[in-house]
Amino acid sequence: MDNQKYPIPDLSYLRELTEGDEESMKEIISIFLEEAPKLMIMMKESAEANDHEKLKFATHKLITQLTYVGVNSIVPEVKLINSGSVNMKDLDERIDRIIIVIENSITYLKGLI
Amino acid sequence: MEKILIIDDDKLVRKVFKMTLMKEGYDVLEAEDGSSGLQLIRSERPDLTITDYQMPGMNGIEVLEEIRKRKMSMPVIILTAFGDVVLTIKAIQLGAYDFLEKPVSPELLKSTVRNALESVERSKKLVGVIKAGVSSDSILENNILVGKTPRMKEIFKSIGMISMNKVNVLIQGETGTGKEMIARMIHYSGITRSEPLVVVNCSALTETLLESELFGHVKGAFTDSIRDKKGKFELAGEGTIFLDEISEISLNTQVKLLRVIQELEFEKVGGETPIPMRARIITATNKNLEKHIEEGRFREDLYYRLKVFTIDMPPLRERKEDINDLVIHFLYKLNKRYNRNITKIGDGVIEMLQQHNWPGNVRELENTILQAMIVSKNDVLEKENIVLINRFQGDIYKQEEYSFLTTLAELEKNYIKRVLESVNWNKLEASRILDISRPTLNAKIEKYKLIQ
Repeated sequence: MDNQKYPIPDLSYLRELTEGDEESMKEIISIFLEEAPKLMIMMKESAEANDHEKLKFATHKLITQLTYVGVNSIVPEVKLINSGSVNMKDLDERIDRIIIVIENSITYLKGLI
Repeated sequence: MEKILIIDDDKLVRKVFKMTLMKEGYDVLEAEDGSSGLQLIRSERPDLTITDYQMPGMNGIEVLEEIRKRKMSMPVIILTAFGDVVLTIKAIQLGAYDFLEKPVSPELLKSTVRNALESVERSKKLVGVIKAGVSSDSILENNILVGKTPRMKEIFKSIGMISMNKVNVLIQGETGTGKEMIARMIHYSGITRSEPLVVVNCSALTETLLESELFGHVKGAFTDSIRDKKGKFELAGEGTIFLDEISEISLNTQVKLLRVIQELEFEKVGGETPIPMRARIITATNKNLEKHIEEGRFREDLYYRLKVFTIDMPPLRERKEDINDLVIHFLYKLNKRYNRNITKIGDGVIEMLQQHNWPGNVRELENTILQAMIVSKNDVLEKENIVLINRFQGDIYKQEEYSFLTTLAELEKNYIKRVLESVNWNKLEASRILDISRPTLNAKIEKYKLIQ
């Protein structure tokens, strides 16, 4: 996987939220690292099971999480899935792309704490 | 120290909110779902609750309903990932203090919480106006208003407030901004929803006819009035009468309308028996009524009676961020109505639409989308099918190619043919799309020798 292809998280919003407090930033990143994988699994599984309600729920939660830690590049795509306007045949491909970006962001963020 | 309860299953959101609010000196409680939140409300009596909308188990609206059922007047702020018209209206109707979209900036969170706490006393006094009877989503969905811009959100909140009582409302805005839609939303989202909604276009009728339309007439009032006729005020009953283009009514009719509002009763034309008026009056205008008052064309006393609450509809050019959502909404609605299946939006379409000035506002956008859908040959709304008319320069420009340029008559002939084919030669439907009468359509079919 080519990490250079994906933008690293932009932590400026998190810095603003925490007013630059390093400990608080680390705490928030830790929660993201704990929660995001669960949401990724939920998103993937609900898409495979055609469970639209669950998919909506998982993407709803992901939007906020991704915004807090600055994984902004894929937020529009997650919003699109959340709004239910993605063609089913493109859904898997889009979700895979989102997961790759989140996984790369997780690797990057782990290095910060 | 004021106590604030945060209900959200998202640990990260709870952490961020707690951190922000504790820095402001608040005592912060947390709950990860609606039912444990309600337990904390019972035991800890917080001064304010912030709850997410989408949670497993109870959602935020249900939490709010439970709080209100228990006659607790604390401010409740509801969070969601997206602005949603129906939810926003429902939340405000149920007495939510505010409805915020995630992620909420620290500044917005702090100011909203501060304002909410300052309004606690005021909020307690307002409990009495919160009534049951929140609108059915299906009716609201059929009269949906689309918009995520701050001005539209404020309008949705206003609808939430005024739909629960019968104040007179004046809706102002340019042609095509959706004034009638707002009137329908007010009517169908609140206490009048099961009552009639009667729409009157005041500019379409002469003074005598308008009075007869509004108040009805008795047998013999006119030469051809062979029986009693009920007027629109009577037909509106306990519901709503919507008077569109109110600026167009004569000064004589204005006097009569003023009397109806003041006395809450009226007589049929030619009649003497007073009939009670119980409907809410919503009026709309695309004119500057204050200027009409200065010019002596509109009564000032009537103006103030009509504008107990005013809604100003922004023109589309001032809310171009909403164009994407509007296009999706129109595709959905028009696909259903015209049995089409345009489900995709081509590259650059939204950007192109956002560059247009939209003098005809949302109605012009809807017509533009419909026109493009009709001529579309696949399931994509394409740039080359979109014709934008620049009224100020009087030219019609297409985005890409000009090679098709031809005479106006040829263009009209081909377009009418295309519309007829699209609706399987259903002339009623075709004349509706073309916005011409059936006889005019027949004349054009004959003129251009169009054959099915």
